Amino acid sequence: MNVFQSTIGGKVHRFKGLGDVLAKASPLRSGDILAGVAAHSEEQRVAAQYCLAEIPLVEFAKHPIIPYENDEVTRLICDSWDKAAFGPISHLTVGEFREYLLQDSTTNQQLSKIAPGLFPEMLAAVSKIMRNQDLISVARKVEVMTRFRSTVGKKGHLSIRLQPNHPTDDLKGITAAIIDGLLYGCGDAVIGINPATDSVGRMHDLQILLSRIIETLDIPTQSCVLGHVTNQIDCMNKGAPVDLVFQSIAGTELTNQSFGVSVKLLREAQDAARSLKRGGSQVMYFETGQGSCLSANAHHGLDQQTLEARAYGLAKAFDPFLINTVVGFIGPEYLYDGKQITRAGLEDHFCAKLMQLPMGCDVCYTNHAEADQDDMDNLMTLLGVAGCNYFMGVPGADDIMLNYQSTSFHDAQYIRQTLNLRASPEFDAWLQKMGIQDQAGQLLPVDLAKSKIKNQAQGLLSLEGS
Amino acid sequence: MKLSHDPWFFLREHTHARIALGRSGHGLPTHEILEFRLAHSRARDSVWSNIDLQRLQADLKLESQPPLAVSSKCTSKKDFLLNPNHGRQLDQASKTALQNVASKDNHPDVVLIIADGLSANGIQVNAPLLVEEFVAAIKSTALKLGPIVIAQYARVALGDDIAATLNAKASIMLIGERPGLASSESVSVYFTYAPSVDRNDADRNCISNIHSSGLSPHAAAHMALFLLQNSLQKQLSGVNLKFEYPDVSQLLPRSSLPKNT
Repeated sequence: MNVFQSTIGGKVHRFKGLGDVLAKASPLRSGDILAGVAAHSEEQRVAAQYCLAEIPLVEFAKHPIIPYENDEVTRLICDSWDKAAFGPISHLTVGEFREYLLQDSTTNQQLSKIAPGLFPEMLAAVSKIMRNQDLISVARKVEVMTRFRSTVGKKGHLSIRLQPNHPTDDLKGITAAIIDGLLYGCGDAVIGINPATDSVGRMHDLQILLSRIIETLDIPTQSCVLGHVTNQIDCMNKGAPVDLVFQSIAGTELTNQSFGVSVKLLREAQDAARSLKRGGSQVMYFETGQGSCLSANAHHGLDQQTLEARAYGLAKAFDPFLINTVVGFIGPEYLYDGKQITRAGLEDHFCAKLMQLPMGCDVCYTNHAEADQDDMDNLMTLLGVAGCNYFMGVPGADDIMLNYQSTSFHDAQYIRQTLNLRASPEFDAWLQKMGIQDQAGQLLPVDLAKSKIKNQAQGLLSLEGS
Repeated sequence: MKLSHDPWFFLREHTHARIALGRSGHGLPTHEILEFRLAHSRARDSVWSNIDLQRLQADLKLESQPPLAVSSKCTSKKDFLLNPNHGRQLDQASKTALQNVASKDNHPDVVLIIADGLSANGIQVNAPLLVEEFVAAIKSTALKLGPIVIAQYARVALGDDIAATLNAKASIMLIGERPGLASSESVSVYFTYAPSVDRNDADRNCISNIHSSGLSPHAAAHMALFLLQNSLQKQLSGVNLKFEYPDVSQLLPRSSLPKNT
């Protein structure tokens, strides 16, 4: 198929190629306008969607939107493509694929079988013609479970990454925030700190701190210090207790270069973490977010959502324990307001889940975006219904190190109670054992005198060198 | 259950993070909801604030050297937020005005640029004292201070265009940071040696978190002068300029991370 066009009411809309159709079919967002790839009018956007709906899925496999020779992410996606798995849907167009996904007879079982046969771009394409409710109801069918010390992603469960950041990486400040988060049932996805500096020594201190807290309180969870992957490898070489290895990734080789990472380096980190045998073979934690390729000036003229889906193609090759989009962090020049952030969050979750990734979401915004905590409530609720694996638990939703707003410990309780979801099974049992919640998953009243963690918490807060 | 006073309150002595807030059911106590909204409202107001030029010029008290007001290519605050590149280039009228005051054979050692960035409120509050201290401090050196420029709708890189047009050897830009909930009036100093439009962030040094409960404008002014002297001596700036501030423990806040590009 070499001609990309659609005819609406006698008017012919022509597009320059597959990438152009994808970009122009994208629901409005500021980053695509900034990149100069967005539709010029609302009608042109729908014309592109008509055109996209007619394109056979196989087109995306035949003609990679970034050439195989030019990009290692494309090579990874093409080389790991399972043509046999693609078989059952190989005859479908993008529009027919949407209908296939929505059918009652298309269950988690079918979706997990076709997943290895999907190109990320096929999912990006179909998402562009789906409504928000489509993105929710199809993603909801998919169950992706991962396991380290806790099990994340089981149907009926919702996990939280406890994010106890501190502007000076103060060990006691971080410890205090972790204790508060645990008391609200947070931390079953991971206890993960974004360090304030890129000091390897401080990273090592933080890794030791987290491992000490997890061991002292015997928490069925895992830790991560989210510095650069090379620093984490350095720390592992020095014997640091590293559970999960973190890295930000994106959908093009050039963007990943700007992050200072490559497939080879990620493989090296994965091998190092696996060799520590601290909990399982799923040792990777990735973060992504629409707009990073444009921000790195490495977007190949493509739209930000398609590029984001390609990042999931890269992630998939590493069988991660966790992956989440940091959806509103990048700022209003990429996602302007609550509406755009919401749409992007649902798209990201859908595309990643359909690739069988253990997708979570940092539902968030910065103060220069047109968004507030009500928008976070909305997106968190929508993603909760869609079966999102985990959210962030940030004290009061206010990250005092990264200076942005996310979701809080209280929000975690809100979403679990409202949607009748439980923490990860192992962690849920621990919460009951520690007297934090009852059998029904409700927080118990606080009685400090009887608290099973007060003494240990005070011990952790008074340690030498903290 | 309702728990508006959290028994774990003692945890708060270790961090200013929003912990031990109490709860009503799973919700926040009302005063916490309102406190958060107040902080967010101030941050939002700061983002959308504009420099009050008349008031700033009066507060700066620079009778002998009235500041020059310039603007980037942005046509509005919304344009500024949506198109970072527009905020990195001077509009034509400003460019011409600066060219008219620039002197080909009389290069200033440094120009001082006051820029709104993402918090004009922060500039309005912090610029007068910082500029006063810096101007007084530089007088005790042999260094030549060029024009003082006030820039509207400015991103950090606009300083390159301004300083290069004025043939300055270095630029010091005081710019409003992206407001956080803890402070909506925080500003940063960005320093660039041999400014030109092809400079990037790796060529700059940053002193951040200048606000009422962070680094004082007084300390920041002296750090900026120290940075300037070091940079002119070594003829570079950015990640390759290695030095330590004197009395760093007293001058620096415990956090000084750049937040505004």
